[in-house]
Amino acid sequence: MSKSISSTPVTPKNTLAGFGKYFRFTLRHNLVRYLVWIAVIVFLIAYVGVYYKSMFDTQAKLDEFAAVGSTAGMVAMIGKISCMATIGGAVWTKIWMFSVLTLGIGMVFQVTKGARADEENGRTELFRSRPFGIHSTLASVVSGALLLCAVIGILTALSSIALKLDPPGTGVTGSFIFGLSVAAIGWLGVGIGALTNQLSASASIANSTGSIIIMVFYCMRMIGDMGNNDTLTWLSPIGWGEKMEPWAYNRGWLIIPTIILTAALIAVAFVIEARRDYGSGVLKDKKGKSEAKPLMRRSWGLILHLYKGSIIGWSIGIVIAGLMFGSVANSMLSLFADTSVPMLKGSGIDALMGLLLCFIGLVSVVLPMLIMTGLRSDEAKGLLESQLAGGISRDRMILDRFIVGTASTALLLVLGGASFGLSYGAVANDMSQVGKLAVDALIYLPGIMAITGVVVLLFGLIPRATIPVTWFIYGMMYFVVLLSDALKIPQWVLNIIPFIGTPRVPYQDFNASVFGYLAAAIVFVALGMIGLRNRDVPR
Amino acid sequence: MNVIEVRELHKNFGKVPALRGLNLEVRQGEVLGFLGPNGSGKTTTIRILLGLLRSDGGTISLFGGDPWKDAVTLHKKLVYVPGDVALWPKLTGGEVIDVLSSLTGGLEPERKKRMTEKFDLDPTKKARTYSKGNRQKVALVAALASRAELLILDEPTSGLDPLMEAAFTDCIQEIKKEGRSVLLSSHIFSEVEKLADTITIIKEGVTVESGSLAQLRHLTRTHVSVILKKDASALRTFKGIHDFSAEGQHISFSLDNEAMPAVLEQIAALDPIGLTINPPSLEDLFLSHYKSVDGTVSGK
Repeated sequence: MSKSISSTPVTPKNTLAGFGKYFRFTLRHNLVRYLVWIAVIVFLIAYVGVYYKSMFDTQAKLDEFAAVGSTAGMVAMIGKISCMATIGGAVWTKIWMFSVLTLGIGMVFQVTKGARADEENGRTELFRSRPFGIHSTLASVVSGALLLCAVIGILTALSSIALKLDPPGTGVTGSFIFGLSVAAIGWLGVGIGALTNQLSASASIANSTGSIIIMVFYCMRMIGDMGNNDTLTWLSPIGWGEKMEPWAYNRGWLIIPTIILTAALIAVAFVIEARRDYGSGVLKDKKGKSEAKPLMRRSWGLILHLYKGSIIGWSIGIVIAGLMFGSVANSMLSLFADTSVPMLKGSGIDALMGLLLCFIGLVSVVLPMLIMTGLRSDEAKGLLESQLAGGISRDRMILDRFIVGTASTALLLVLGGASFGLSYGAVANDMSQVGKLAVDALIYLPGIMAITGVVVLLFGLIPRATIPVTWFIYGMMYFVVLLSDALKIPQWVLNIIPFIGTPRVPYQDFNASVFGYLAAAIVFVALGMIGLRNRDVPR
Repeated sequence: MNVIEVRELHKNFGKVPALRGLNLEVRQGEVLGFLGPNGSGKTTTIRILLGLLRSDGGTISLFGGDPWKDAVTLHKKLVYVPGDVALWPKLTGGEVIDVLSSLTGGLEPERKKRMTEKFDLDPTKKARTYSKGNRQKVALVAALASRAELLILDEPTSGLDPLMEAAFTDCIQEIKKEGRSVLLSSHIFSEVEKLADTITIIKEGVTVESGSLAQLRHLTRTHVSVILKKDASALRTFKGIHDFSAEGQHISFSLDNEAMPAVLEQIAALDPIGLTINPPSLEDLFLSHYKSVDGTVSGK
């Protein structure tokens, strides 16, 4: 391939021509997506606000909560926070890191969708052939996303004020800093997305590079917070948001470096865009082999090959999560032993470990869901067509994926359980925990199979709904598991959700009810297969 | 027994009829040219033949079997090149060829090598970096390097340059010699004229014409232009002559084939000093089915 970055910088003229038109197009085109983002982030924060208002009704309870927050594990996961003994601070502690990581990574994807993905599928080309400037599309997509984050920040602040999260006598400064800190990480994600979109040669690489950069910033602040010297936290852009610390220090000025960095990232993105060829990035695709390995020539082997990167990535993630959970386990006990948090279904170290294993299950289910929803995205892309025309049966197509999905789930559960056992065992001086928790974690396998079975069922019967409904179900499960007690839903209904109905080993004993999920999985997969046998492809 | 036999095929998408009684036949060792404008139902027909879509009526036989029920066994004997080729973006072209071919039992490596060279394809590049033409080449190489009995090709050369088209023509001729069969859906008339033994033209989901090129030509008028010394006005109203035009001694008209002997006799009597008779091209044939009353061309 020829050089894609020109050596002589000639800036095109009227680079923003058509911006107004494209910006309106972007807003219209993404309206639903924007509304979903606003609803998810603001609802999440407001929900925790309402929940904590009722849970921490005395200062004593807040003080207790703050005491747990300063343990190593919590600090590692959510940061060193000085305002935990206030109601706003407690909410911030619980939800801030989770929501801003979601928002930051989400904004990388949002930028890619409008920028690199449209360039890849040729839509941008159509616009560029009209009187539209070279930056008009990227500028519109970036402006839309920046605006979205600002709205989310403002609504966060307003809902915090409405819920009276500010301690009496402090005004509403804390609420505004809260909103600002959420918007800040969103903006950062937009900047990072703008840049990785220019560097990479494909949408998926732009997304993964952007997500990795955000996770690196997250880990930087983690190392900073854990040590005696928090320089690394102050160097991490995620740390800037964290250090705003509403209701304690109210360091609103930290928005300044965030804005400077975001602006710089976007500026660099524009400079690169003006100098690179349409459709190419700075980082080149490597050449590969001209022969397929024997493994890839089997249909399950091909799936394994295509998802190899994801399986390795999720394995590393689950090991890190397991190690963190183990170190947290001991330190968190003091809180839960006293206040008997309902989420825990009891008290004591076993109950806590049961809850943490359940979280390992909740993380492990994402990968097989991704693998199974791949059936639908492959169908939409036209990939299933060539395979079916090549002599794979429709049943095999589903079963091979289901087997790879189930095997990778089992791998993640065992790795997660074992690493949890390793770090907990190191503290508790009991290395038998490694094997024990690895086996215990597998109790979630039948439940996860039932959930992935639902994906197969959707794919066979209502293919168009497969992807949105799958992720809606995941979101609902997450919510219900975190907040089940606050929802006032009868227990037998809750038990349908595998992460609630599965016995919380080691606290609860293994019982045969998990085989119910296995049976459900078999029924769902069979129905999905019958559905696919009898429908048109593509549909 | 024919390789493909389709009678009165019907298919609806919801309430919209896509096929409304389509007939199609591919005989052993034959290339069938499958013509029709965009949206006339070519791809739908092919997808039904591949057992991807289910027909809503009519009979359909592929190697004597049912393409829906026996899809997997039947697919061992055929290869398919879709009109819009989708590849796994992370795999290289060479890997995709092997993956696709392994579905029907694998390729002989030297045939793969010969075809990649013939089509000038770099098999080490990631599929996402290929252009439309190169993606098509990947699917074509996988199909042409196989020894399948039947090739189903949906507009296989729409993204190829003329050199590659020539390479494609070569390959199909070789396949014909080996007694294998091809269903070739195409928009390129010259390619179909060169390769097809029989031609099926469809319109709005119905077969409107079917037969060998020679048979089809019979159904349409021949174009005649002639220079006459004597006055030609008598021809203007002669039975079988249409679109008559005269410019001095230059006369041109189209002619019903059955009127040919009588008209030629008449011309001979008028002292012709030049005469050209052109059989209708496939393009004329095709367009004649899509010409509406006012002479404009449309797919409807």
